[in-house]
Amino acid sequence: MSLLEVKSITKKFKGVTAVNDLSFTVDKGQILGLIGPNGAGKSTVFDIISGIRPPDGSTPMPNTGEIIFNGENIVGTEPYKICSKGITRTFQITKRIKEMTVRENIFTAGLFGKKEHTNKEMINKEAEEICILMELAEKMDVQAASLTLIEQKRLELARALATRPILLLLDEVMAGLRPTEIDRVCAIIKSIRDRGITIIVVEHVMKAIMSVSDKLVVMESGKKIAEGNPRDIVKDPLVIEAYFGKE
Amino acid sequence: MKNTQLRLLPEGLYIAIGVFALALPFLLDLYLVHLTTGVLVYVILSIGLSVLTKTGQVSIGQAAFFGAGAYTAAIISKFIYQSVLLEFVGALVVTVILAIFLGYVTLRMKGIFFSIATLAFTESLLVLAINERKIIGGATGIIVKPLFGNNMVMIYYFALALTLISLLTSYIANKSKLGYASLVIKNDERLANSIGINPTKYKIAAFVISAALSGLAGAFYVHYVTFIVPNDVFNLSISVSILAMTIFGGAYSFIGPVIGTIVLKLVEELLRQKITYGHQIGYGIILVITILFIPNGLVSLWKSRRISSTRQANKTGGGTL
Amino acid sequence: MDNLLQAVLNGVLTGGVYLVVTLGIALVFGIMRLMNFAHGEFVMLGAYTTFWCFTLLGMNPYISLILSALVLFVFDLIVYKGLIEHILDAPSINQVLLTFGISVILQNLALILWSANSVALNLKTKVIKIGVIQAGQDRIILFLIGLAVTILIILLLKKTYVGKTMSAVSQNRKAAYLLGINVPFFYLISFGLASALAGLAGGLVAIVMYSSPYVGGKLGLRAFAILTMAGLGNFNTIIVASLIMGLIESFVGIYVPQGPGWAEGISFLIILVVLAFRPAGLKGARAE
Repeated sequence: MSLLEVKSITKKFKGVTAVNDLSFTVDKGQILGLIGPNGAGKSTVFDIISGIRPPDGSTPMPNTGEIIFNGENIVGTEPYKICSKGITRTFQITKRIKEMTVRENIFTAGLFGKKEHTNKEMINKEAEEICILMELAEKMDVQAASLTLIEQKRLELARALATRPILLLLDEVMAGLRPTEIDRVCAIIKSIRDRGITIIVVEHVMKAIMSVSDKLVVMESGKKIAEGNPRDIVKDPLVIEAYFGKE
Repeated sequence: MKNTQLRLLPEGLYIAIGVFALALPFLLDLYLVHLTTGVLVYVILSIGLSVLTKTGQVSIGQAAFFGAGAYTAAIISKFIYQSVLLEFVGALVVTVILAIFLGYVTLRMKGIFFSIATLAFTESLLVLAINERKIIGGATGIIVKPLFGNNMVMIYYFALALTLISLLTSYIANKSKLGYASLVIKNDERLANSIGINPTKYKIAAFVISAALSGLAGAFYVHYVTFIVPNDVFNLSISVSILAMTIFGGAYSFIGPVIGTIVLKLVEELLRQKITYGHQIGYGIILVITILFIPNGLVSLWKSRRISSTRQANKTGGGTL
Repeated sequence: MDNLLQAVLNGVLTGGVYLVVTLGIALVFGIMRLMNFAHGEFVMLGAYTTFWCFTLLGMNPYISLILSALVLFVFDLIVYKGLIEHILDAPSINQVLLTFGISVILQNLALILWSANSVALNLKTKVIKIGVIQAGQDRIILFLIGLAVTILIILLLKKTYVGKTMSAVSQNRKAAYLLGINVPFFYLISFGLASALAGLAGGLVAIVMYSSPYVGGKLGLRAFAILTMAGLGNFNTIIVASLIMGLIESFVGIYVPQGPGWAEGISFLIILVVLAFRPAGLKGARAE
């Protein structure tokens, strides 16, 4: 059985169909890449899965369809509950608590996001471990307000990790990074998967998504137009047309 | 890199203030002790409000719980049994229930709807209280016995004890999960949700604590003045001045509300001789100026003077001293 | 039966006034995501402008409506530029506190300048009878004016260039900048427009009801009760909700003992009841 099954999800708002009868599955331990041209509906999919309202405050509930996670339909579940069920997402525009230090940001995520019972010492210790993993050890006690962009991205990942997710949704984590930084983040994503965490990556940077994904799902105008192995997808004429237009 | 812990005032200063507060009745004449006791009521209300403002919510209804606590204490004292303990417990129970109910319904909405609801709640209670003649005497008011046989010094110490309890409550709340959750919720509710925080639950918790402290202040107040009419306690201007004092001192800090209240109450006292009315407009102006120029309150002026330092994760909570 | 129809008419006419008040708040929120606590006080100032124009200058009340709109337009441009513009990007708690502070200042200013007594225009108005129900001619005309203005605004937003630009700006500020739209200018215009609406609403209130420093708070409360019912997104539902608000008040006023005294309580109850039974929240008004 797949870890996550997206079944016939449709989402319309203000006359626009953002997601149109979308279905795909993700297996445990997989890294799924969700790609498509701008406006394809990818971020909306994350909003729907995580149950978190989009920035304009509208509801993330899909009009139809189900999302089966670990055998359970999570459509309509409160977003904070979805986190405790094991799905954590990151945000395209990094969110950090500027008044807290890096360590405190991660600690807080661990404090609320963990599924099992732990105590503050353990949470703090795990926060430190995550800092080291995310190459933030030197900035551990620095105010989050003063981080560079790549450090913010690492903090975003670190914070998500602290909640001990089963499924991690990465929302355009590479945006704005330089090529060397992109390589570093790709390596970090793979090491997260090696820890047993399943990942869905929404991304525009093709090189990155090709190198990390086991499987790709391509969206255009809310519909899935291709699904499969990255090598095959790249040659798919429909995909090429979606990105570059007809020859 | 070594990091220093952030402290607004050195420990010595806190101890000095504490000693002064304890010795106050022996240093000042009775009239000033009486005045200080009145200020302490406002300090308790401000501390209560600050627990809520830390979550990013604005309540304009502290007076509602202040009055609820006062009238509960008065009713218990008059009709059931004269026991300070019973009255205070009663005030707590009533305000907590009201806050849970009101909070559960309105805290899921955009902040301004909550704020308006707290305002409307106060006005509704005012109307109810004025119209309820049989039990609480309606507009003609209700009388209770004073505490400690009207011994001003004992009354002052009682108020001081309540203030300390409020400070302790605020401190513990801040160190607990509520403290961390509040900071995240205030910053970004989407983020809060994504790390497993239920924003409504913690907002309600903060609201309940702020209501309970206001209720305690009210229960004390009714014994302090011994006679109240609805307009004394269910008064919007109380909520407004508390709001101004808390924001002015520092809504997101521990000691900020205390400082803000004392400073503004002093100013109010000094100006009272010269300006007989119009305090309210002053509080409005203070709110506007504070938000525009020092949105984190007076205490933020101290902090910016010091080297920008950090706190260690599990030593201090989301708040600052 | 006569009573019932009369109650309905009164409710509808009152609802029309509430509509114009609420529209201004919804407009500002829709375009710049700002909830203006002080909007009620702007209406109050509009009411006093109309009152003084009539009382001191002997101006025709209908003309003073236009003057009220203009006065508030100018006054609020200053308030916006001086105070409100700075907190457009601030956390919402700061917005609530600032606009609340402004409302406190304005309300107390009115108290100091004009005292707490409410004042009415006391116009001698022709009473129009339709069958068993009746209403003052002025009330009917003003209701129609209010309705016309509302429809005008809605059309303005949907059809004209200015309106469409405002919608574009509200949906995506960054994109609007990139397209060369002067966003701060449009915010200014939008706020001014909402303020003119407030002034107009104030004039309606002064003529149909009364003026007092507290009228702002009372209207503001009703406006938010209406917004609780209608949600923040849709002007059409606001029209319906405003009329419902007027009807509820009218019925309670007639059929409930001591009805008029419970006016504030009604708004509060409406807010509570609506929120309690629609726990999923209302579109756009939900906390994020």
